[in-house]
Amino acid sequence: MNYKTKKRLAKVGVNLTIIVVGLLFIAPLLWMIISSLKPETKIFTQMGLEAFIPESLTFENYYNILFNKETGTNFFLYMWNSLYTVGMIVILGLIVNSLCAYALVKLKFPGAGLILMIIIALYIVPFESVLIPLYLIVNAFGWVNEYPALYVPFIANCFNIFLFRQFFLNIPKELEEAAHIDGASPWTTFWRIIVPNAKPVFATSAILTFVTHWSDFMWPLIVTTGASKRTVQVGIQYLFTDNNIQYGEIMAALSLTTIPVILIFLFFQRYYVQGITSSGVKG
Amino acid sequence: MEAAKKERFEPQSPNPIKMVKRNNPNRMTYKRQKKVLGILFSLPALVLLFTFLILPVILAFIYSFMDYAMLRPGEKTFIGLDNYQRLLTDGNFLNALKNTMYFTAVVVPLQSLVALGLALLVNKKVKLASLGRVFFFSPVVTSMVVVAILWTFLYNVENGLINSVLNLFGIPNQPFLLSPNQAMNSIIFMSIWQAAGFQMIIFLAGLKEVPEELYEAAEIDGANAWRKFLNVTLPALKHVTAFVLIITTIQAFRLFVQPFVMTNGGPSGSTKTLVYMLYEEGFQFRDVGYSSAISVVFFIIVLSVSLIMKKILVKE
Amino acid sequence: MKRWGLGFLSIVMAAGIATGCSSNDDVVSNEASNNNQSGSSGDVVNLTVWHPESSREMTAAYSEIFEEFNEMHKGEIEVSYEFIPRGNQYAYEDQVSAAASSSSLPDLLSLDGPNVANYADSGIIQPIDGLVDNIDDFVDSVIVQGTFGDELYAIGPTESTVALFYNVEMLEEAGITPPTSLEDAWTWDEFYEAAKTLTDRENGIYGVNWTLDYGEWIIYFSGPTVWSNSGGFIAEDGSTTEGIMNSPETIEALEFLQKFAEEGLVNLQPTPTEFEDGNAAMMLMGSWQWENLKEYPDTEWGITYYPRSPKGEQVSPSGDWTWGMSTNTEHQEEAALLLNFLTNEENGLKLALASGKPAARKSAFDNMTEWNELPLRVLKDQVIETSHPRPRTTSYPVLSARYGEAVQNIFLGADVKEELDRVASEVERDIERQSR
Repeated sequence: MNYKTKKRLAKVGVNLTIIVVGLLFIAPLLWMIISSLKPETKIFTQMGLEAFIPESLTFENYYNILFNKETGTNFFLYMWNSLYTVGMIVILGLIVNSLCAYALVKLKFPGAGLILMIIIALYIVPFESVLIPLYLIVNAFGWVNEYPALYVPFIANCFNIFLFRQFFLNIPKELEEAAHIDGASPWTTFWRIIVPNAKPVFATSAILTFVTHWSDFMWPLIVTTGASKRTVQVGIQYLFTDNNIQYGEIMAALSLTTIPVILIFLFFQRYYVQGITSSGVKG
Repeated sequence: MEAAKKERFEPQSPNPIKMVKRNNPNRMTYKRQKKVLGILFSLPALVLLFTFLILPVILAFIYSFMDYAMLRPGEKTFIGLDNYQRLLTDGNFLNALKNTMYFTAVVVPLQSLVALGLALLVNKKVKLASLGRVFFFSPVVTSMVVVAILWTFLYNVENGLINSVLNLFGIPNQPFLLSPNQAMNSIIFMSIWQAAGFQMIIFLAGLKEVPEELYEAAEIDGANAWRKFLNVTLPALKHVTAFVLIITTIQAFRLFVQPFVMTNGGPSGSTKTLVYMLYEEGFQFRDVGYSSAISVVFFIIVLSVSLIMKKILVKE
Repeated sequence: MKRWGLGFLSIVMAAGIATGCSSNDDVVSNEASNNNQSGSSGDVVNLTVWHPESSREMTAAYSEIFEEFNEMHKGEIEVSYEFIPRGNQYAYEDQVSAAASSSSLPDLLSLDGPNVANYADSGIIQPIDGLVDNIDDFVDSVIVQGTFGDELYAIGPTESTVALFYNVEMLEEAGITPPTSLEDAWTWDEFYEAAKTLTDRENGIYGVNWTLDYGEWIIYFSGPTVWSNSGGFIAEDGSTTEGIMNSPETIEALEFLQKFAEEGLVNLQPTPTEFEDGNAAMMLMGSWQWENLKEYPDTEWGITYYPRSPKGEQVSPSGDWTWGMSTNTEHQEEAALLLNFLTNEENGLKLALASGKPAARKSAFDNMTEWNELPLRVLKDQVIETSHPRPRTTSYPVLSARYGEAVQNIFLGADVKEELDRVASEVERDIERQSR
């Protein structure tokens, strides 16, 4: 076997593995999507393997959620509220957290080491344990049932600062020093050198932040007392009310809420390109 | 600290660029500029963190020494160490601690390995790589509450998808969530499925920072795939791996939604965790003081574990 | 990176500012009108009201009632009402807790029956003695559930109960005739025998279905079995649970239910529509369920009474959501006006019909003719004759949660006495803590 066929075979093997493992990963989600296309009364009569071969499909569940005035609610509004607030967390967060991490790693001001330790330690704090004090603070700002309550507290994020920091460590010193010799200020260095060289980590931070806050439930519930600011995860809870759970519509709503996340993922995954190259180091 | 170390070794560096820098007359002003800008750049994050995280943490710490019923905020009283004393004799706490430790000990290595494997798989330059990324990441995009509800159906004893697959291989129906012995392991399996994509993305970003030339050089030296992985990939992923392990540990310690939705902490308390307990005491039973004391102890435990891990991982 | 980042940012920000301004007037009209009113005229009293989101029919009925009230009191009182999600288990209660912690509760709030004691004791709702019109018209269980100490704190327009639904065809085939009057209600043995006969595991059919939801359901559906056997959960004055929660009578009642699980007469992980799909012959279920059964026309169903202990009385569950007045209100008089409007005969009837639940006022039943006939007569009989509210104690959250966990374990084969002993000791500790 020559080198080329060996390489080709290896590629086929990798592709096959991706398909098999990939199917295992998406099977439960397929189950959800297929269930959302079934009439309510059919979901639990076919729950096992036979669930994947439905007898009949219907878009009724989707219609009910989105357009039916009697059964639906403001799905599009809820979706927008989520997109807007999570979008703000992601965008402002990318700037604030990456700048902070850059300062911690590359600018070495006094106390930077201690601050990093505090940031990692703060990541440990489970949200459930600060929920009440945080609510009191947000309430003091007069933000209950206002957009800022939904995003301002989450812009600065220990996880993201730590993430950026670990990746900035890998950016060779020589790159910045070269920029400095060219007369660039740290501000310009950040935008011209750090950001372009760290696209994958910016994409990672954006995706993970989006995913995390997209599924937030407890906090948006507590700080939104009215429907006008409700996020989609809170908004679709009416489907779960005790005395008449509509599983078909739940599955449809859940399928719909995952679409934006998949789109965001596809968008940012373009930035998973080779980051630092040695040509960059040399230049 | 790391920074200081590097600074010390700098003069011995033969790098010509650094020699130039050392002789640069603007160096002091540049250094000062860096300090000022460093504080300025980190200020927005630090102000926000202080207001929305540190302040609440301080408040929670104070509450842990109080008798504070959630519905009577006006009647808080200091009771010293009473909440902590109660914690020491609370069998539920020890049980929750044990369950949390077990979950963490199993999930952290397994999930990190799976994630690394997935990342390596989709980092290959093959046609299906980007499809694979979407597939592996798709469980992460669905909220945990949703995933938990979904898997409760999948784990159903008589009608569930998983048992119907097991039957194909001649394995009889398993009780899964109904068994004190299987419930936690079922949650572990489902959690790894759900979150491995999260760590995969981080590893993937790390792999993209490994210079291509290093692989080419290794190939010229005749290294096989395994050698390349050991000698090039792993060392280059040092910082990222440390990050993933610490982050996964902390996330694992915070296990809550899965047992809350799927098992109610049962059967026989086998899936009750620390965060579950602090939610239960704080919100369901409205005892903010005791709940805060659990938070403080939880914090100390996880911090110690993370510090030990950091020591081991950063030692190299 | 920089370019698209800033581009996306400006789009999102601009759109946000745009919708931020417009969302108030087109989307949620009730909220908007409230905001406008408070701005323009100072004489209008604004009342805020919270109710958990429930079925669509119920939400529509409540909205109609609030709008009618606003129309009647135009220029004087303006109600702004919100339906809060209940989510998984306790989301609504969590929101009430958060609002209470910052003294920002609405004027009137809906609460589940067992929360009355805790809320009243904490001083977040106030006594409404003397404020409710024609109070003798309410069924006893509603008054009992709404009372804490010697005072009335909450009152609701509807009641609720749990009864035994059955599949007509399956029972006929097995030659079983379910009782049609309260006096003939099945005893435990008759119920057990029926379930045993009806179980057909070969064909995947269970004799009876009872949902094993976590949260409030377990004590709600199983309580009457305990009371019917002269067992209990806690002393009447809430001072102790030792010797009551783990009394021989309570233990015996749960051993009876455990038998169903042990012998496979009930499915411990039923699908949500097991009965509807014809995979269970009977179902212990809430009174609201008959409305949902209409969606399954292939399954012909009937309702019979909650089975009673051979040595005790006939008892049935009761307790529904009720209305309380928060201590944060500055408009007690107007709030009382609204409270009475919500629970008057006409609206009680309207809400009962919308929810499919029994009415809380006896007089409302006069207009519910369907409820004089089988199968709904069963529910009415239970509400008027045999209903028993859940325990009234400030330790209820601990009691309900720990008891629910214990029953879960008991169904999986745990020792009944051991489990109940543990519940008793934990509740006891909570009682002690609260009296500190």
